[in-house]
Amino acid sequence: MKKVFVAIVVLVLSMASANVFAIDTKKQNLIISKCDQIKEDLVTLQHNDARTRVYLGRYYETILNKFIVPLNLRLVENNTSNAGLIENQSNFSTVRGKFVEDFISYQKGLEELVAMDCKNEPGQFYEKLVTVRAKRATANKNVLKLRELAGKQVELVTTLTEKIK
Amino acid sequence: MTVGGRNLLILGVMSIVIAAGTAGVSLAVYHNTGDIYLDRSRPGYLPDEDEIEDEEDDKEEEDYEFSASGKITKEIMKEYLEKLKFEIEDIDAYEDTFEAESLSDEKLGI
Repeated sequence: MKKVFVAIVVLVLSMASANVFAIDTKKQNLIISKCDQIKEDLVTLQHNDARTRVYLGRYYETILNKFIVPLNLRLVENNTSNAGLIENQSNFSTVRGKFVEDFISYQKGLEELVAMDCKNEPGQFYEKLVTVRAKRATANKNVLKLRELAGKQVELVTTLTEKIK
Repeated sequence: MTVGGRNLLILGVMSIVIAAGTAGVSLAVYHNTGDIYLDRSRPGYLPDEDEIEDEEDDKEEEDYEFSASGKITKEIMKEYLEKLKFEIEDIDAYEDTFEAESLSDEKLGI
């Protein structure tokens, strides 16, 4: 009984130290056989994402610095500042900062993934892939949130415009 | 080797070591701060010809900037809304940005 217990403990500890990520053999074999193609696809994705980030970053910057901020300054000048618009500016600015931070984290993860030896360590490669997917999902959330905030700006300004005599 | 020649050699070697060291530190900072991931002037990330043309078109569109001073009238705000919606349309072209599909098992063939 004691020997069985020791054997189980040794097995659990060895699995933990090896950091084995549970993926089936079929998937492992596919990663090994398609390793080069997968890496090529990941590099293409990395380049495309960098391009998209530049475009989106530029649009967000334009919306914040050429629309949201100057409007709030002008409203203050006219003594008609709007709490909703100020809050929207703060939120937009915060999420925009997060968009850049999370993108860097995602790209770092993707770079580490591309550098991994998927032929000899398919399990660890897949584990990293799952992590990178989560980071990509976070980046996607930021994009959706910024689009929502831009839409909110339109709503708030529309309401404000309707009130102007 | 004369003393002057030796000193010149030491100066040359030290200059190379200092230059290599500072360049290494700069590259480490460039990488660790994440600036490298935002920089598209790296080889392999440079914009292609179509992109450059699009960027020139965008520059023309970006001329509008809402002034931070002046009166607020209905007409001015209508123009603001029109231009803002136009800007949002550009964002909507990237609706599926960072979607999950590109990293899915199916897409990667695993």
